[in-house]
Amino acid sequence: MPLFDTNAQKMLARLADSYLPIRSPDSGKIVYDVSAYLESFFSAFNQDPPRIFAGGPFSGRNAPPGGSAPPNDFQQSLPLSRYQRLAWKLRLHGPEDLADEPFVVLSDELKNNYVGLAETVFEGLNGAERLANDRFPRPVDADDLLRAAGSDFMAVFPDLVAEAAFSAPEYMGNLGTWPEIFYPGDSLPVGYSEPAISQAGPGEEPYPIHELADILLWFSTIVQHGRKFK
Amino acid sequence: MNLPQANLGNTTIEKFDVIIIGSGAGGSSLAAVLAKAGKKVLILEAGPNYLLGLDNPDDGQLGSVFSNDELKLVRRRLVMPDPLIEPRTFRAKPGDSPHIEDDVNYLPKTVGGGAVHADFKTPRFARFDFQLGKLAQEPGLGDTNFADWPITYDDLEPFYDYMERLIGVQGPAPGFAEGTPPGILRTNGYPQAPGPTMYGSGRAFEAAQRKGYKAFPFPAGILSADYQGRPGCRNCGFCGNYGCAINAKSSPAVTTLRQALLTGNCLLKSQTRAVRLEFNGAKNAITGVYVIPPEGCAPQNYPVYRADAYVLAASPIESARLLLLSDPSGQLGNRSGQVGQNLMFHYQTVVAGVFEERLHPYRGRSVTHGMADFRGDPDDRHNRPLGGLVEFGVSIEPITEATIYMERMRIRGTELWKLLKASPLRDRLLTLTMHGEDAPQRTNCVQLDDKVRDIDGLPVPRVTYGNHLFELAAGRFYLDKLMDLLGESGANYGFVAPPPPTPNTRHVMGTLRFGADPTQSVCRADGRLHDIGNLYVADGSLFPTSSGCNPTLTIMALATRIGGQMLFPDDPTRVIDLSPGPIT
Repeated sequence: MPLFDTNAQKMLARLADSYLPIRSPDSGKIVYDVSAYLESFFSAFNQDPPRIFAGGPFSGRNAPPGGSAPPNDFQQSLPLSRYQRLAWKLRLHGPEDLADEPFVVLSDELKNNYVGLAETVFEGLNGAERLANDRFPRPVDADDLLRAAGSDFMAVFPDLVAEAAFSAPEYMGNLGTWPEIFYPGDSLPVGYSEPAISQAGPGEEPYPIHELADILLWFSTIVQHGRKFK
Repeated sequence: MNLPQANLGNTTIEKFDVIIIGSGAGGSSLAAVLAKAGKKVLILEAGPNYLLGLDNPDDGQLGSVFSNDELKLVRRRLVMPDPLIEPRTFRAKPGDSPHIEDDVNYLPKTVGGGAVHADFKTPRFARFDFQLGKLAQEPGLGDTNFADWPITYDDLEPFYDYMERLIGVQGPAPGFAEGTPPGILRTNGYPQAPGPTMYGSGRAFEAAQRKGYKAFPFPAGILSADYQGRPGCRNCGFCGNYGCAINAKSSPAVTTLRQALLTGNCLLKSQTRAVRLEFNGAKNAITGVYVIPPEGCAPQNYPVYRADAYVLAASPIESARLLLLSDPSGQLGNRSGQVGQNLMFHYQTVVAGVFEERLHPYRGRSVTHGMADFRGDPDDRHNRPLGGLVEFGVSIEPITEATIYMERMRIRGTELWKLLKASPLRDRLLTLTMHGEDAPQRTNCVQLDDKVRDIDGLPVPRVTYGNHLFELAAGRFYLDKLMDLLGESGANYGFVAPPPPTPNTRHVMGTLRFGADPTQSVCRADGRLHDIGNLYVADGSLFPTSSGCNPTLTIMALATRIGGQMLFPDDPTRVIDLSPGPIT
């Protein structure tokens, strides 16, 4: 049974969309799925080895010239050490999940106050859904939904959005973001040739930077000693 | 997919001559020397192993489960200790209240140690770096603890040479960058030619030359061509912060550690955490080391391993912590009162430039060029202050880039897509990073925290660290020059990367310094503790000063020399191959 029902998936998509629109600004296609990413992440310990670290070395996306692509090792998961298992159980599901683990010494702070990532997300989601239901059928602004989700949710959610969008597709969130940002992703076992490494990028600039000059100028001057050279 | 084994090497050895705690640059290099000489060596490594075939003589079986995967290595920190269950506390000065910080200069906890995940730049230290004790006499530096090393560059030079040939360092041709402080660059030709110049690094290299600086292809323990059964680098772009997926990176795991394991005289137990040294009543001999085995156990049942000699090589913070954990009175090996003190990190001054054109830094080895013009010269008042080597380049990946825009710049929505597409802080980014010398100070130290415990119930390291005007002034002095160099390189915008709240340079040194005077140092010149006849140190803990150069090659060379001194005190070079050419 999935962790997120259809309504929860829609709400997660809406909240994620307010940070990074889930649709490509060019094609209009949905390019990442935060709920699929979180589903896989939060249920990591439902499989053995847990789905925390993808295997390696190769994804199978890069075939050498004239050769065939190696198998996709990313689809497998690496076994966790004891410390990794304890840390990820705690991080995802809180101290209750360590109850059956022997030889563990938890500080009072962790024992009494630490909330797992999954609970933080579910609590935030519940808050946002409550607000949406209260206001139904009137539309609710995304920022109001985020505020209703709470500060703990807002503290963790942008990172999760970025991870869902741009991690390797085997982590389930990335449906096609890499081409959107002109990023090739993993490159082995092929890698890059000397000209590709050493020379200027060929061809037309796909997305000139000058449109963002104001943002960059602002950023470069708000930090210490920022300079505009040109 | 075959998964790496927990125990490697000869699992039938029952009696050990030496136990080494830590399998990183120092521990592995020392193990190679001792095991090749027939000593039975046990290496205890707290972290897991991600490398295949390390103890298999067939090079074709050497493999890895590392990969081009940002989530796995950078975000979820596969090879790093997890601060959630193994925290460290931090305070900027004595008297401040320590607090838990997410990252107090953690080094990887994995077979092979820190160099597994670094992009493994391997300059030597400068000749003058071994005699900087005189700086403590200079005005304004009286509160520092600068000291001479008890060995000279000449003592270490054959071991530098050996290690460069063993691991196949790539670097500039002889005569390149004439005028670089003597010692930093190998003068008789590196074993491997430099790999391809990254485009951004190349822009900075050319700009540096125009400005009259003596820039060079950065020496690195990354193969530019096939060498000793390992493949040349494919320049995949996932280098700094990533374990090498094809083992072109000459980390200690696939070089010195593998040598040790293939002798048949070495056993490595990974996921085995040393937690306490047992010592005799006079506190002048170690009698055993207690460990937590891979699946844990109750403290009263911790297994103990015994040998004739013991070596701390767990990194400066963890090596000092283990000594302190073993004797909470703080007296073990501590006649000088300096155990845990003189902790040093390089003081990094980082400027970042954004270019109009794309630099595609995701292709290559993170950094390919640099210079030593800002290292200064302690004997030349006109060539001050003492800064450090400058690296040209960096690569970050999209998740990190997106979080910078979202969290630091508060960009959301369509504007976020625009930024990600234009990618000013990834695809157009060039950084210049100076590793400034960090003045040793006794107040910068590792102690045991009196409140916070890790998940095994052990006191965590409490790091007290604040910068001295020595390195702050050097950083300020060279900052404008770095910015000028960025502009000359062609950047449109430049800014100073804000310093992190706690140091995260990954260049960690000091805490168990070596020296001639037992009242002013913890260890002797041969790495042995002054006060404990069978306990040695073989990692960056020994460094009395930090230089301004990446430390790993020096750690490996020094550990090899320590191994030589353990075996042949009168001529430690007997353990290395002094003939020219590749080491087999």
